[in-house]
Amino acid sequence: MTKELFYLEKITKIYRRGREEIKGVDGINLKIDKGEYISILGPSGAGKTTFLNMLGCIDSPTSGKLIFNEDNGDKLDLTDMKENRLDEFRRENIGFVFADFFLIPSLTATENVELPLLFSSDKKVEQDYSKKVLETVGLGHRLTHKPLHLSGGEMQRVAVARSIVNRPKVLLADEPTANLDTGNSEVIFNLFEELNSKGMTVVVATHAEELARRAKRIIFLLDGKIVEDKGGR
Amino acid sequence: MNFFTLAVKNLLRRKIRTTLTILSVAIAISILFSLLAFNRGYEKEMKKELAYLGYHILIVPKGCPYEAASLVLHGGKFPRYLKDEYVDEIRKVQGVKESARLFMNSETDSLSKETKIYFGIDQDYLNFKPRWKFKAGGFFTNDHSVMIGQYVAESKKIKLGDKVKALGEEFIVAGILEQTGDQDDGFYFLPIKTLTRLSGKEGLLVAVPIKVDDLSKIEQIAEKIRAAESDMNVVSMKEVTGAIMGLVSSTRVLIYAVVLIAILVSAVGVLNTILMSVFERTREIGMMKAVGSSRMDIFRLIWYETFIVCMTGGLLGSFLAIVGSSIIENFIKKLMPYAPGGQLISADLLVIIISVLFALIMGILAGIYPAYRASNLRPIEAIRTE
Repeated sequence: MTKELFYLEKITKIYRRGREEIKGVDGINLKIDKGEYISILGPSGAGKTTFLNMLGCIDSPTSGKLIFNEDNGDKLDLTDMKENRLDEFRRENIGFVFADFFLIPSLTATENVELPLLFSSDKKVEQDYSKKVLETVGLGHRLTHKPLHLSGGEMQRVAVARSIVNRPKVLLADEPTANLDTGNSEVIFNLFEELNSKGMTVVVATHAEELARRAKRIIFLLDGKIVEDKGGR
Repeated sequence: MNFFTLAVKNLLRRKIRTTLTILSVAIAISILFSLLAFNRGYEKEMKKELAYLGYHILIVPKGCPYEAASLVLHGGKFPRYLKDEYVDEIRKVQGVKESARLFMNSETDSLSKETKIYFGIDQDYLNFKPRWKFKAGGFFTNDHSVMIGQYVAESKKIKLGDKVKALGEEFIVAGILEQTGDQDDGFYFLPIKTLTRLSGKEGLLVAVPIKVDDLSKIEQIAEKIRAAESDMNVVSMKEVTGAIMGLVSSTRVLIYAVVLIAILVSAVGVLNTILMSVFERTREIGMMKAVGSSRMDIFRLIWYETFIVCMTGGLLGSFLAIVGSSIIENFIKKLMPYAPGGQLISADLLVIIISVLFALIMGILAGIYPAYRASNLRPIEAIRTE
């Protein structure tokens, strides 16, 4: 039986530029089940990043409801949550992968992966877990290397390892292969598939149609609206 | 990895900038440290020096009593004099245990520009100097014998029995004093009668030091002496100490102002450095928020960075002040109206604690704004920042 993880109702995000109002996302209704692998496709300006940011609670919708269903059955209204609770929610449930990697140059690959654990209140996390995660993404031989000495693909794999080190329920990736060549893009998407096969919900916003089509569900966005939802319930 | 190591690694990303900021803190703290250490050392040495003098009361000519007292301490030419017969009147005052006649003159060599200070004394003066020990020889043997301080003997390479010239006449060295650690090391001591004659001031004195038999009655005895003769100034050494410390206090206000400005400049420097670092890392902070850091986590991280800069600067500044204390001491001595001999910078544990504590407070205050600013960044805005 599938279990609903996110429930989005008329989610809208309006940006104001002077007197002009721009709708980044326009009245999206959507349900995302636990363990789904979703690709968000669409041209630049379609609202993919805005949608992902709101799902990951680093941006808030102008209107609408965003509900997250916890394992114990509790429904969290993310649109009505205080900032410190949102920090906690992100820490416990969301993993983010960005196009620009955002690795800290002075830290080694292991230390970069450890970063979310530093902010975690869960002291039970094993000390060497970050190393294990790096081995999972195929970087067991690059543990002590700093970003400067890693290739683009390796840097993104470190970023993926960082996003999953706190065992989130959802992995959100915003154009994760925008700065990578075909070979490395392939590796990253293989990783997403592997993580999804282990039960993690994965939502990827991308321009790369071919890679996006590997997902079980594909959502097409245009002008902030869902124009097609392939593979959804 | 913990917050502390992360903060250190962040600071090491801009090594030159961090080093310069630490140096600015170190300089400010070393000035503060030196001043605190100097304050403690100065007062201690000042009291020690006045205690070495062995005077309880000093009688000096009319005029500014503190200027005269300072001349007695430093040595030099006096503008006014006391009459010799006052000594007999003073000795009659009840409570006066010891007294002596003092005369002073100086002579500057026209070629070397060196100044010799001549101190005219008689046998009575030895009652005020129980700690004097002779390295060679002893007290005057005749009217043309001289005793010299240890510094004079060493710097001029004068030995016992050598002839030295003073105010146009020759004297035989009858005694060389052991080091006293005060102004006596630099004096030529001549028989008072010879010195007054050579100075053309026969029957005149520059000061009469007095020892009393009961220390608790210094002020009453001073009053009695004042009543006995009005043409002189009677100052207790307690008053001299108070007056000099008063002069020092006004100088101290100026130095405190300089220190305060140095610390303020340094604090603004720290604030600027950390704020710049926050601006440069805005996107990184956005990422940290996206991966779950709280406002408090970011605040703590930035605050640690400020704390590390200030504490390192504080410890380095204290270390530099201890190492360079002699240079700093000479510099401060020039600013002071009167500086006693001996080591004036007395750095004890309390001075170290106060200085480091000051650096800590500076770190806490300078870190508040950048830390607040960083912690209040909204993740989405931070990530979007170019």
